Amino acid sequence: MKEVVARELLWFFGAALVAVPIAVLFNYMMVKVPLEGASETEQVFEMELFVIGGIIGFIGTYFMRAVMWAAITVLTKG
Amino acid sequence: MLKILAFYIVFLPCLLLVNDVHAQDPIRKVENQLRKYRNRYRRSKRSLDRAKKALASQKRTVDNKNDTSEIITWQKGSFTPNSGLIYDYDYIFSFLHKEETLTFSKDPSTRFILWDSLNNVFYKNSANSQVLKEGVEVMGWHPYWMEDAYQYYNYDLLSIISYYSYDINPETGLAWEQEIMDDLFKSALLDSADSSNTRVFISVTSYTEDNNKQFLSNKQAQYDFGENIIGILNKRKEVLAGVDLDFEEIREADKDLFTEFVITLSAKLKNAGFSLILDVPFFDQMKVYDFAELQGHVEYFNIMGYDFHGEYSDYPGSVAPLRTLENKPSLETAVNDILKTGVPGEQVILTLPLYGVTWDISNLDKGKSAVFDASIPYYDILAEYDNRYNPFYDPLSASMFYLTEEGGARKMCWFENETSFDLKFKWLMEEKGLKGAGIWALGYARGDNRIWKTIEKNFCKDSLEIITPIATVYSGPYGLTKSIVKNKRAIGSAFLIFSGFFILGLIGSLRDWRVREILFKQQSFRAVYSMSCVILIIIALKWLLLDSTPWLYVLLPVSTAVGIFLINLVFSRYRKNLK
Repeated sequence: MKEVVARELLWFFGAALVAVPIAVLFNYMMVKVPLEGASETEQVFEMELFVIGGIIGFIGTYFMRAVMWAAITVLTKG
Repeated sequence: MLKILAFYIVFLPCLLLVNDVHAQDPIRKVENQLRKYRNRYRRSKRSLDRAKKALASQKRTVDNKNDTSEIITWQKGSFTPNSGLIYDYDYIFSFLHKEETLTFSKDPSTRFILWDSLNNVFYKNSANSQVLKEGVEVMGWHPYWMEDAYQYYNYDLLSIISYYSYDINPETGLAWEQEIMDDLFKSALLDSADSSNTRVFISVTSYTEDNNKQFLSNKQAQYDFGENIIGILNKRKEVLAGVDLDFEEIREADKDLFTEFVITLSAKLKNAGFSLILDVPFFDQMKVYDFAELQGHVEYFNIMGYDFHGEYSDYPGSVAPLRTLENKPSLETAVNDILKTGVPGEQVILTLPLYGVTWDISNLDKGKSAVFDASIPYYDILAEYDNRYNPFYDPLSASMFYLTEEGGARKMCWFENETSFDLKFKWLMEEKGLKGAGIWALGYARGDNRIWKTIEKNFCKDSLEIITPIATVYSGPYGLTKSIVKNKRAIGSAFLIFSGFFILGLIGSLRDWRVREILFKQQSFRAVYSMSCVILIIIALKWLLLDSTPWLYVLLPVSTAVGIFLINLVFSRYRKNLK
């Protein structure tokens, strides 16, 4: 049990850390032109896109982990 | 069970890929085509919805009776601009924020708010849209014989009412018929005008050369007149504003006497807190009006812009022609004549007729001239002709006329209606820059609202005014994200500190040689850690230094990478020595 908690804690913090560069990358790809002089609504929406990118990065890390686990399970223990 | 799940996670994408190989199948081809059409349809529908949304106009009605709040809130679909980030990803934006709540400060006169969805501009409609523009005068005469017609006037559209009239007895200076003045105070006209802040003037008239000559040379009568009229004005000082002086048929020889009388009267009225409007003819043939001298003593000159054709003319024509072909007087010459004397347009009002003139033209084809028939008020013209004939428009005079035939008698009726008024109002305000317009006479339209509508159109403020919301709140996570934007530096710094502690925790775990052995045994592991450090440094720079020192973006990651490489090198040598 202790092992599981320790592992999950490391995965959680790792996923949170990975989410940030993914969010930056996602924002970079979505925002076609620099938002100079943008309205407040646009600035908020840009942040929303950043957060969406972060969420994708976070979920993506766990998805990657699921794929890793599935591949290892099937290919090594099957 | 877990194995089956794992199998599908790994092999499902492979199955989908294999499935695609079968796309060459004819049925698959059709399905693919259908899918393409469905996608096209979805895209077109989305564009159509976007266009519909952009062109929609929405309205928020304000219930001033039941809603005592000091603000107006309006919840409506969120706005998508015509360009920019939100436009590019409006499906994401609409998904996150379906609605927006707008807050407006409440004005008791607001009836509703309109939204121009194309430009995202809001307009408020005031309860009283019939408010005259600042600095504009609309004057109307109430002749005593119209009796209680004043009940139907639209006082909001009149800045001045002139009560017609105090006709001067040249011997005494008093009114010929005192009861006309008494009727004014008995009626509710003054109260009605007062409630709409309409100023009331007393129309003072004197006709015929003899009367004028007698009065202008009678100083005692002039003095008594002055005392009497000020006494009358003082009875209802809060609404009675002065005298509207109309002397007609003044002899050339009496020019100086008239000028002197006007100046004296003006001074007297001014001392008592009243003002003077001077009515002038459309053509001052005798040059009896010394405009240069009188200019400083009257509030307004009112050009009586009517009777160009009528009882005293030889042939039919417009009662108030805008222009004429020959070198004859017209509204244009009348206004130009007065402006040429140096009187500014701001001091001139042009009065137009709300009556028409009919001519008998039955014998024109027999070589005989037309015969003046009658002057008839606007409501009689409508009652007589409007249902049976179509009026003609004369572009030169900008007036209307009917050609009628009944029982062998042919008639021609020249008159003004809402169309000709509209043209003339625009001309006098926009082209000539006059102070305003007058109507001779109120009550001649009776219940017909078209003239009032024309006045409203030309002299009133726009009923729609732009209003800006004091706050806009979108539904969904807008408030939360807004606070993140507001505190992004603090949140970013906190995250970096948190990440730093996380890394410190990992470094701390290196105290155990078994951890060190697992983590640093392989070269590829060390490469991953090194890359992570470099990425974290770049993010830290992005958050903390922003764009102020761009060279650090290169220098720090490079120096970090070099540092990590050196540490790895030392570590590798150490491990070799252990062996």
